[in-house]
Amino acid sequence: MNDFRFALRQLRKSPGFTALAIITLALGIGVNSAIFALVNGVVLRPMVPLRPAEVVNIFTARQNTNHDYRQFSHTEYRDLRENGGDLFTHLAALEFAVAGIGRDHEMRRSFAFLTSENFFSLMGVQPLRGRFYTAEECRPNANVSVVVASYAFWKRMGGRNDFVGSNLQINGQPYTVIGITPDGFSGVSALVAPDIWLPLGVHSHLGSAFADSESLHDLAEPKNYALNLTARLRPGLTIETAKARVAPLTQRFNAIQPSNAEGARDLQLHEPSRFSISTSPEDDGPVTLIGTLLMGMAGAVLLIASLNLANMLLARGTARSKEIALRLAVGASRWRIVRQLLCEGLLLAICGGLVGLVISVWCNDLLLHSLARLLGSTSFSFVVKLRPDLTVLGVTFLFCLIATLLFSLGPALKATRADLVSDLKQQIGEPARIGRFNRFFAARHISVMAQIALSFMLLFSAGLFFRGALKASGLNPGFVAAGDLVTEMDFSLIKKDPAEARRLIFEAVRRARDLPGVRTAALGTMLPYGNFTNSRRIMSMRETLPSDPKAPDPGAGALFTATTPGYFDAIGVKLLRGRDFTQAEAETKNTPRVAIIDDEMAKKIFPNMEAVGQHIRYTQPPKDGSPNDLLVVGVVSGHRHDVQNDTLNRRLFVPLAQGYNGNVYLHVRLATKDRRAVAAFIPTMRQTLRTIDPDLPILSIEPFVDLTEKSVGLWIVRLGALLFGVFGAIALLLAVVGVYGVKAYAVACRTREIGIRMALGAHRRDIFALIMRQGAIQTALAVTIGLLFSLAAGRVLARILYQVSPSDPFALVISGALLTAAAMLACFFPARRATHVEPLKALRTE
Amino acid sequence: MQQMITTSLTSNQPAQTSATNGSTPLIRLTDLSKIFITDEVETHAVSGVHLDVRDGEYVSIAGPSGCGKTTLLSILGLLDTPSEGSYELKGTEVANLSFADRARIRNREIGFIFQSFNLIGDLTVYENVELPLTYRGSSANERKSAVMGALERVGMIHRARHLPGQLSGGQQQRVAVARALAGKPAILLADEPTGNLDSRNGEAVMDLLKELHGAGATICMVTHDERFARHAERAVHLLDGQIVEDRLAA
Ligand SMILES: Nc1ncnc2c1ncn2[C@@H]1O[C@H](COP(=O)(O)OP(=O)(O)O)[C@@H](O)[C@H]1O
Ligand SMILES: [Mg+2]
Repeated sequence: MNDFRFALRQLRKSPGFTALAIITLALGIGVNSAIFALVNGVVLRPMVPLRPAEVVNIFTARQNTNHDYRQFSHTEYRDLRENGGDLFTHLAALEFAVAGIGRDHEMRRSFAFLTSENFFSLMGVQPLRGRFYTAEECRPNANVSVVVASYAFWKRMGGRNDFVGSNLQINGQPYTVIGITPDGFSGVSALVAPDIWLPLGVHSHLGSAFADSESLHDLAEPKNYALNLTARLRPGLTIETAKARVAPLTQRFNAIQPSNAEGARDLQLHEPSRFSISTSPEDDGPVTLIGTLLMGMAGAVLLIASLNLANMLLARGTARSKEIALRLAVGASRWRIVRQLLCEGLLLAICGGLVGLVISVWCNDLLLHSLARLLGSTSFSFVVKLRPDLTVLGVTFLFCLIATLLFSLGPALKATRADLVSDLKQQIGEPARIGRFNRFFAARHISVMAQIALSFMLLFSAGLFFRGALKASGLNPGFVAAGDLVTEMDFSLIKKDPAEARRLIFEAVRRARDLPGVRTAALGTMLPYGNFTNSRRIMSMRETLPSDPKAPDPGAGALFTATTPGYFDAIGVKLLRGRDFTQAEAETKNTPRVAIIDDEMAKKIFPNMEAVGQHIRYTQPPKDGSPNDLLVVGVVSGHRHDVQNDTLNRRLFVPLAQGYNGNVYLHVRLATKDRRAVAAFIPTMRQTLRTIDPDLPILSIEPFVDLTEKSVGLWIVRLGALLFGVFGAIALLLAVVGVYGVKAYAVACRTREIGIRMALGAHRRDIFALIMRQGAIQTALAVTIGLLFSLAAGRVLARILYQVSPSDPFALVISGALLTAAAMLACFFPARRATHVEPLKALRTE
Repeated sequence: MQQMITTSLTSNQPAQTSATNGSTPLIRLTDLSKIFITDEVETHAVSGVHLDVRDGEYVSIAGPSGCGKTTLLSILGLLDTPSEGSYELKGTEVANLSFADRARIRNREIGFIFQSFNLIGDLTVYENVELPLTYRGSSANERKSAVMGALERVGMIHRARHLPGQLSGGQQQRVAVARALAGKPAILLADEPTGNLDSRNGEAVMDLLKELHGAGATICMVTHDERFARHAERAVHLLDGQIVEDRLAA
């Protein structure tokens, strides 16, 4: 404690140094604690309240090479639940749905989970208020209109005490709120949470938004595969041991399959994904990798900050060596003095850590804000919390300790190793036995070179991400977003009769088209760069379905969009060959089945052939029994669905009547491409739609360019650029300050030498060159080492880079040049100061 | 003006022959003063000094501490500029030259020997001696022969690869003398060259200077040690910045 009091006095004695040290540390530690809070919130924090390791997701896939997954029927679920006792203590069923909550204009499309009653006990949560639903309420077709609200939703609705027991309008029907889940409970997802939880029994009542709205509604129907399964393993079982014991259950599962099933199926156990809500297993690896990389980069920043501070302390140690020698001379043990110096270091680190923590909280708030704005238009509630909890505080303290050891142990040991005799009769200037080589590789120069090398690596990484972000922004999506005003409506939310809904849709298209200033209007069921994806697998009629169930699936996967005539004009895609759909095809189901594909798809399934006039079919026949034979009437130019490249990119279009689902996007192409003019058209658009039917389920009206800007893929690429850019900027700043500090100190130490050289006839330019030359050689060496670091970092980053080579020469040259210029600039001022040394004064300091 | 000096220097050797020559002195100070102003206090470090130094002379400057010896020597060595008066070096006025011109003259005409040696710790003995030559752009061969010659004269050739820190004080001062010689300057300026040495090493350095003088070098040496002052052929006594005595040795 005494040590600390003395340390405090020491630090107060030199406020300039203390402030600089604290800022340096605050940057280094702040970055780390911000990133750690992010990683903790997203990757580490356990989501399942009770023994999370026991919770697994169960999937079923055909035993062929494609592993095509499907969900489970309620019959299958019941059977597995009854017979899985060897493996599970609980088996819960879960259906993902989207529901419109509220009335008319206040309607919000929300994420909803339909679950079996045991889902909550499986997860180990108790209701915060009220109760969860019962087994009876979860029986298929029970249709008891009760709902459990999430904590966040309850708060958003005003957090009233009488909320439980009140009525909630869901998809146009009244539901009674019976309970509220605890704060932060989101099932297994670490990112997004549903607003409401519903008993499985309301399935048919609600309609499912992920399936065709006209598909089966009866949960008891054996071929209605709508359920995802989550289980809690028996105590003592791990996911690996459980996998080894799943065979009997698999056998049973295959035994209850209907006779016309397409081959044997597997039951698979997977760790639940924290990041995606999906009906097939998802790999969390990439996100975890990104987290690890971010921590690594943040660690490099902390290392730079620590090296920087170590240099400051080395310089201070030299200045204090007389004091230290005196203490040693009067009998203080070396350990005591080291302890004293470490105390000073720790005190600095903790002050820096506190400031850093404030910075990190502030930064993360900004980040969350940006995320919330991005997701505001979608149906998800965001659950990531980045407020520092005990873990974050603890880890930040750990960073402080690490930093202290990094920056103050070395200088402390060096300061106390001092030669007593020579320090007591301390000569200013250089110690006696030192060569040029030794000086070049003095600890402070090594440290500054390491800083430059690490900064190079961080700058280069930032450069790679910036290149990616630029590419992503400048990407030609293949459609023309400018001038297109998009209205999203979801008829499944108001439970309109499909025929009536279609009538309204066509009315809306017709009215929109007639508005002044509108070139054309049309509608599609999926939005490029949107957040939802529908896909179907199709094949040429010329091919036959393979009889071997283990054979790979034929044909190709396609992004599936149902459209009205004029859709391609409206979004700015070219019709290359053939024709568009006719109004009759779009409006009535009984016309001959036709399809339009894009040229990517045409090349894939009709290589060396004219696709127009060919016939195609779905590999999975339509569930409603409609004919599975489509005539290709047109081929359009390809266009992107996402910023990311690895997603599906071939397309299939059918007339609206043949692929209607409640969620539609009305594209209105205006005569102008100016974003503001397009935005100014929104009130007209809203007014027009209102006059058709005041209850139209309008979710949003926005210029298409705004929607593409909100693309999650784009946001991620830009976030990467931002994060790495911040790292790079901090690293550059610290390195420049470091170089400057060391050079300024070196010049101060060499004042006498400079005086001698001047007395011997050195010109100012000789002195300037002397200092700059050393800086240049050190920078060159450091940049060379940094180049190696950078290439290594690029290789590690390769997996998450966006269309940039991991050794992108442009980024390499720019970051290298930037760093070299900055380092030389940092040398420039001390070098110039050196030329102003007065030889007489320098020589007099004896 | 500087051109004249440079050209006159090309043939320069501390010439023995001109010592008795009655023409222009090597150095001529006329009514030279140096006033330091600190905190509104004026210190007349040097006031109204007249001094001629001829080629080949060995002048010792003595006087109590603070009387202005070092200041005078600094002005002679063009490390400092006089406040008033004139300083002619080889017949050329050098009192008010620019920094760059003074640097050039220091490099070519002046050899410094300091009390505290002032060798550069990072550089070897050889490199230290070479230093003045590097600032005048001599070729590597010229430098090498000049450095070796100078080291030879002070008997330090066997230590050429050593660092100054590895030498004794006397040896370091001999290296410093070699460095002052290497550029073949018009005059050697030594400020208490024995001040940091024990008497035996001090003697050795004084003997070395005497030997150099014998070979024709012009030397101005500050000392307050009477014994060493006797080595010189001419003794100047300073008191409060003024010359109070200027006599030829017996
Ligand atoms: N840079 C300076 N500023 C102010 N006063 C100075 C400076 N240099 C020397 N002096 C003063 O000038 C006087 C002569 O100093 P100096 O030439 O060093 O004497 P010496 O070498 O004979 O001991 C002293 O009084 C000294 O304090
Ligand atoms: Mg003196």
